[in-house]
Amino acid sequence: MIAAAVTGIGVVAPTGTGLEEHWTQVLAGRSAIAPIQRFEASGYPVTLAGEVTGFVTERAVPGRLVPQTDRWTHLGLAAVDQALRDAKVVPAEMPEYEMAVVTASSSGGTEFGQREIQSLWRNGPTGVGAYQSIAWFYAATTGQVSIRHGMRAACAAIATEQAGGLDAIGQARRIIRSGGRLVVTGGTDASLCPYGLVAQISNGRLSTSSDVEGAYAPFGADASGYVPGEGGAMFVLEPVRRGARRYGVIAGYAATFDPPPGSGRASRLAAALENALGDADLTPADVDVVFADAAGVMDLDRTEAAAIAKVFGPYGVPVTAPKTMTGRLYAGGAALDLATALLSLRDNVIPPTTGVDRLADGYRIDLVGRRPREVPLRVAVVVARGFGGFNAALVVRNDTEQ
Amino acid sequence: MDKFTYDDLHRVLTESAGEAGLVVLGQDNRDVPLGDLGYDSLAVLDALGRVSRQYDVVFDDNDLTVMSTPRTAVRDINSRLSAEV
Repeated sequence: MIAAAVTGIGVVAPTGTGLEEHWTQVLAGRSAIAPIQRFEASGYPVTLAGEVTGFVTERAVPGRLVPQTDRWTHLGLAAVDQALRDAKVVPAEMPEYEMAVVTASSSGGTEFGQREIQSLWRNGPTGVGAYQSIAWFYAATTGQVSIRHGMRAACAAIATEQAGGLDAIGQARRIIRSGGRLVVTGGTDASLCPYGLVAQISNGRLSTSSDVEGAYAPFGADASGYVPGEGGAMFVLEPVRRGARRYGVIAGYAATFDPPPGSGRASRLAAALENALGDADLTPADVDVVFADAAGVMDLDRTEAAAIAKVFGPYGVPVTAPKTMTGRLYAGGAALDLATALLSLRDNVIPPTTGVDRLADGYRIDLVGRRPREVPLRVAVVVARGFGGFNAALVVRNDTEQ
Repeated sequence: MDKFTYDDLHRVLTESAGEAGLVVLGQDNRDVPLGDLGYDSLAVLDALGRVSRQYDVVFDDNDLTVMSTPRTAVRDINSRLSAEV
């Protein structure tokens, strides 16, 4: 069976633009969560976010693409550029029908759409630009990447909220395993505008705390919800080649879907973990670290802690949530977790989880604290859960010896 | 005197398509289809919307297409502007 290797990574995140900048900030335990700057948010119940700062659109995105794309696509295009350079891939030199693009999106072009809605109200229908038709929808990033780099194999966009980052990579891996030569994959999201924030607030899961340090405290006794963020990560996936530099191999992937609330049936999260391990032909004992979904909502935390304890045994594996330093990035979240996990494997260090002073009662998980933990690492599992019942788990292995 | 000039066409196309000077509309490309000059169908549609707003005139979606050349575009826009008076 052909194995899929990650050969390039690009990151645009609240913790940094660029893989190493992000990693340095994460290892230092420096949270990027702060009061929202992008717009006047003091009147909103949610005032904190993980924002991408220092991203200069005009430098990162070709001028002709800026007016027809939303910020979420700008961040995605920039991350893809980084990943392609990192993988030393020149798309123009490769056959166009052998390169695919699979990205995840959750909010789509909310900021772009808000501007067009405002123009509609001010100016009437002729005030809405033609580009709204392509800037808002979930496939915009996939489409623009495909057009820009001439990647014309089977492309896709996946919308499973926070699980999307893993689901996209799972699909990319299928393409590699069925003979694909190269897939650009991952996800970004950017919905920190009034319209976007109000939409997110309606899910009832955002923390209304204004305490920058403790607002997002997953698995904590004081968990009060999560903080939203923007950004994500993009990857180049290729078949494993001897002698080629790779960050790791996507060893296993699985997705499950939860039963509806009130059905009396249990979450299928543990099954996603078990299935992903089975797919990787590994046992729980082989896993060195779990990057948790870490919703920060009591019920969801409880379910996840129980699933991890069930599969790995009580306190059976180190668990971490560096997303406490960025907020939840929706379609970019699990992708960024994967980037961070691959660096963990590279450097043999588990990044910290910030914001959690005390674990809630009964959570039998070994949650890494505010300091990174240096241990030999070979296998990492990334967990992601999307609003509505999506569960996904990804197993990555560092096998640079092969 | 035309109400809508080649400079105006260049301006609205640049406003829509983003990159200033994407293609300089000069004397030598007035008969080249806009599509061939790098303006795709959405850029042209968006530009038409701007002309509509800026000159307070209603257009048909088909009034300007990628097959229009700068010459026919300027001509058609001016004839619509004259008709609206």
